[in-house]
Amino acid sequence: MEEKEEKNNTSATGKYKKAIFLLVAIVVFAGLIYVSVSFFGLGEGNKVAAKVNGNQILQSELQKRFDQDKKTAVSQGVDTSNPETVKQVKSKILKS
Amino acid sequence: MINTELLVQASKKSGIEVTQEDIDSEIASVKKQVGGEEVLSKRLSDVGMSEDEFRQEVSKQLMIQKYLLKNIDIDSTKATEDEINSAYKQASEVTDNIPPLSEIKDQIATKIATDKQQKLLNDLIEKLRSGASIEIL
Repeated sequence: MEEKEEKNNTSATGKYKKAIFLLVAIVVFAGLIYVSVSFFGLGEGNKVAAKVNGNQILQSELQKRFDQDKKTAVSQGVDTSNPETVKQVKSKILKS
Repeated sequence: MINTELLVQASKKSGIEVTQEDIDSEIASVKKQVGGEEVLSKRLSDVGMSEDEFRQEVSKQLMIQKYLLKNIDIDSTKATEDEINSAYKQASEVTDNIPPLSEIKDQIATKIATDKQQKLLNDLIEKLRSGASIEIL
């Protein structure tokens, strides 16, 4: 009887260890995804800014185009430090 | 970017192609205009554009140019004598010391033609937009 109880305890501990291991694995996996998204360009930049007949225009492409046009905009007196202005300029570039 | 994408898609759909020779020739022309290869490289570097990206951009623009030439009647945008005279008359009513028409006739004609081309381009884009699926996210 005692032996059976001990077996049950051992089995319960094994299940508990497995659950902990699974939890740790999930946390590590989620962490890896987060790191990839944050540091390897799978995040904000790869978000879709628009779709034209199914073809995607990425936020990273919009940002690059904005950076390229920034100099001209500044020379025309556009305040690119104002977030609202940046939003308007980006919207204009996207629609162009 | 959306209008450009629409025009590129329409160009491809109508079978317009741009060859490597077309791109090389256009880039050579741009180099000449800006003052040489080094100046162009510096300008590209200033705006953070690689040579490859520049080639792709030139390719797109050439494709769009060909498409527009095929779909916009440029001859119809030439300014007529009546339009030039009328534009000059309007300008002289609101501008003091306007130069004689003979001096600014070409400028007026160019402005009228550019405005007409812009209108035709806007109409064409509007037509493409109305038949497209566009999602701004």
